Amino acid sequence: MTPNTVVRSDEALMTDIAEGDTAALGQLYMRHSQAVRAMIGYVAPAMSSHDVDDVTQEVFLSLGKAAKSYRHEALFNAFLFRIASNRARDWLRRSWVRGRFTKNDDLKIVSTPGAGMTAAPGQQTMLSQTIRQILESLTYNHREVLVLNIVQGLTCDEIADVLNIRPKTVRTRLHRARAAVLQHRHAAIWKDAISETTP
Amino acid sequence: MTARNEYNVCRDLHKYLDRDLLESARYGFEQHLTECRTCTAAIAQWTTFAGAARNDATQQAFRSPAAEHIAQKQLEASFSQQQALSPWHRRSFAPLMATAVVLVCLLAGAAIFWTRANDPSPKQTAPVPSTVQITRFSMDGSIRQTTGHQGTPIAATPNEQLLATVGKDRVAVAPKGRMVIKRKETTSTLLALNDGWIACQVAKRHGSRQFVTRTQDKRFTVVVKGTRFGVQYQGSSDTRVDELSPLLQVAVTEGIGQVEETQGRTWTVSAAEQLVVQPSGAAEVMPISEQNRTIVSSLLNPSSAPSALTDILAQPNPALDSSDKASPPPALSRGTKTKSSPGVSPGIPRPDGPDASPVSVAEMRQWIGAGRNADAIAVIEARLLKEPGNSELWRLLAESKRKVGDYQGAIVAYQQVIDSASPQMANAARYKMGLIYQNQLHQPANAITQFSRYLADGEPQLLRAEALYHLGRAEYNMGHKASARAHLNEVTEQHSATAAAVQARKLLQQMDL
Repeated sequence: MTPNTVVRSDEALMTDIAEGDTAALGQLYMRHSQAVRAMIGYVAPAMSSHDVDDVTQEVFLSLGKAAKSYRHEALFNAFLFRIASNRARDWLRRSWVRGRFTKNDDLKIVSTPGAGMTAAPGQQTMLSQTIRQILESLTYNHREVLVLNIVQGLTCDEIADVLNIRPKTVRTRLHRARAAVLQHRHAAIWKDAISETTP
Repeated sequence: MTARNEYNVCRDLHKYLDRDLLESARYGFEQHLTECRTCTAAIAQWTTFAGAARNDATQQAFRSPAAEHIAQKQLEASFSQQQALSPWHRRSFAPLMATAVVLVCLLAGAAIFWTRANDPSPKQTAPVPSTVQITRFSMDGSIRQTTGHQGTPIAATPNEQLLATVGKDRVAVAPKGRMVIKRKETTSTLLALNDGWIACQVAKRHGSRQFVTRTQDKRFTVVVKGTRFGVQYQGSSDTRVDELSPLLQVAVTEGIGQVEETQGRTWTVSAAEQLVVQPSGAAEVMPISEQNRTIVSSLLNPSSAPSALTDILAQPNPALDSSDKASPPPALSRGTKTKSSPGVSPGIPRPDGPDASPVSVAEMRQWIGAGRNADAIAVIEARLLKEPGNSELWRLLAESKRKVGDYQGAIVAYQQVIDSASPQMANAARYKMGLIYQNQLHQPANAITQFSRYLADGEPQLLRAEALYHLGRAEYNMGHKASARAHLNEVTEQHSATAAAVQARKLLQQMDL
């Protein structure tokens, strides 16, 4: 990026998209695709990497279509994560329907959780699998709140804005999700890590 | 710090992690962390987990710049393609259009329903007159106009008779009579007869509209079209039914009427005939009595003195002949009671047989009406031995024999009537003979002879249309189709408003087939 390049804000890019600028959508994709992909991959741990990429594309296409209805006083991140959350729910719903009517084992293999994710060496892979097992043990609502909190770093009020629910509901879900994580049988791995670091 | 305070502080762990604590509380909790190993361990554990998860998510979501660039270009291309699509090629267009069409149909249906429900169509808003103009003719000769209302009783006092005009129809109420006019403009005119005599002059009607007179208890219904007739009914004004007077009389002077009973019986009363239904249930259609003809005429033409009508109505039984009025009242049947009124006519069969005392002609007629035809035949035949020239006795004998199925005997008796009675009565006997020849004896040749003689009589025939129809039918049965068609056509053309015309048309259609 050259020093003379003007970095346009997300809201300004949304205005450009509403006027038909496809390049603006590309810029938004480059800025936020990783965060969206991380969120979707954690909210729906059963999703393969290909599915995550497809859903991410759908999220940004939906963002482009919804650009005309975007209110500039709203937080862009909240707007984007709300779309991502809805698309992840749609995918899970479709996946459930497909699972009810499909008996083909090949399809099940393709949709094995994390089958196409980027492999990390050694300890990192085991850690990743443990994290996924812990997340899968949570309900979708709890997992969604937890991911938005710890991965995206959103506060309770911001999560409430994203999910269009009350902040108190977010706090309740977050507390329960946190308690479930701390009491999970695989949480011992963290305790060991802590015992090594604490005096 | 006490144990209780320590517990409360531990409960702030989640608020601390959510960064929801105020500055002072946060400071207090951090002081607590230096002492509480559980909270410290939990926070450390959670922080480790969150950090590991964040790092893992970032790593998992990482794509190489080249892959991201390709994905970006694919996204831009897809978005451009989507933008270029016309609205009806978009995936969401079909459901939207279907929803819109359904909504439009629903709205259109609702609008049509609302329009029809609130549309003041001419049929629904046809002005139905709720009032009826009534002219009251009093005994003292005074005439006054009053107004009655549909649905409310219209009653005549003992000293007056009423004449009401309902559209083109006229309805007269005799003294002591009571009725209710229930008119429905779009369907029919309905009279509810409570008690007494009424007479109606009904204009011709079109389509399915009818003029219906129904008795109060809805037992009898008189349906007419273009008819002049009178109805008498014993209603609820008496404490009980007079068992010596007819329960119902329908006297038709013009046209034809159909009388229906809820029990299923139906009678057709033609012009110059009357139906008499006894309280016992026995019913007979007979030629109209002069008394009933006068009643109907007087009611519909109230110019004559009402007092004369009152005198006629005061006579106990309209079916009686003048010669029989002086006959003493017979003994009553066992167990029957009647109110004691002067001049009550006989009508109930005697318990002690026909030879016990002289039987009047009226009493014989009552027997026939009540179904005691065998007794009537025995009495009449015994009396005919003494009075062989009494044509009325021969007529009653013919009627009773016809009813018991002795058609040959009825023919012989009718022949005696023809030979001895007045020309008018003789001609009526020819008509009856013709009916027996045609319907019971199946001798169309003899039927043709009788109907032809009936029609050849110089006097105007009351049943000319019916006779022509029966003549045509007999000729058709004989194979004389040309003459049959001529007679039937005469019925349909010259007596088109009669029931005979309807039957003649059916027979003509059958002949054409």
